Amino acid sequence: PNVKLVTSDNEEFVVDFRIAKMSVTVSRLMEAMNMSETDDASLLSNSIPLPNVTKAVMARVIEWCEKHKNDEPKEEKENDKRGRTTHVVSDWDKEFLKNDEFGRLCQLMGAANYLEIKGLFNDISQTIANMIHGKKSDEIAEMFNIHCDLTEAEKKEIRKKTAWCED
Amino acid sequence: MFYPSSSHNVDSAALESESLNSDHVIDPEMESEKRLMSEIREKAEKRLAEIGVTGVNGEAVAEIICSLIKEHLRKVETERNTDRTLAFPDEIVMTIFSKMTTEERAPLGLTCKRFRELNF
Repeated sequence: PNVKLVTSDNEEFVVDFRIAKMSVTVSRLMEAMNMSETDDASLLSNSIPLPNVTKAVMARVIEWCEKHKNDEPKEEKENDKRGRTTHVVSDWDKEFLKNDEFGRLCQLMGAANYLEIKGLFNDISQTIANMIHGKKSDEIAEMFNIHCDLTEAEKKEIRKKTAWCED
Repeated sequence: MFYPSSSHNVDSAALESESLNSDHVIDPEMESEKRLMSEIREKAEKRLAEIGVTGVNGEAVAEIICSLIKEHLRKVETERNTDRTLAFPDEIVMTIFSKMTTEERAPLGLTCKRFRELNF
């Protein structure tokens, strides 16, 4: 059975029921609209509106879901000794995300968060963390397109406090 | 306190001259956009003529194409200049940071106040 998803720019995507269920948000909406796998009429007569996702981003989300529809649920490792939560990004996922420019990656992450697709969300957050790794503060600011609102005095104070990290 | 009228005259003359000069200042970005749009318009008109859309109709369609492209370019520019973290709630930013070691996170504190607060 298929489910119809409608994006913010009014594009309709017809996806397999299994793919639609990969999103917790879509699952909840289907339940609320009494749409079930065994009731074709309910699936045909309804469509799920997704006002926070654009057509371009939705196409990428579906591509990811198609690849991962048969995956077993992954267990996220808890904080390791160095204070981080590790997530292994598979080779296919690395390849899938490598050509997305940073702004597009942020949009995709926003969609994964809104749709509640944990695997995709973790893949992107790990990819962004890897991109930040090794960069200086001004390079990070440039990457995120943010203006530094810290004064020179504040920066000096922070540097003093975190000097141990730079050794 | 009043300033001598001659000084006022000099100032306004200087201002006038500055304003006249500023009319002649060429903004390279605007010039390059103008050139790009005129190239697109030329190509659109040529292509429209090939498929038989000429005269007033051709001009109108070319105008529509150009305005759509302009709108798209403006959107791309806005997207480029938007703080990308604004769309992210604190939880998302913290999830990204949690994937990094304490040492790796050190430069985040110097990036901006929000990152500093979320990181520590």
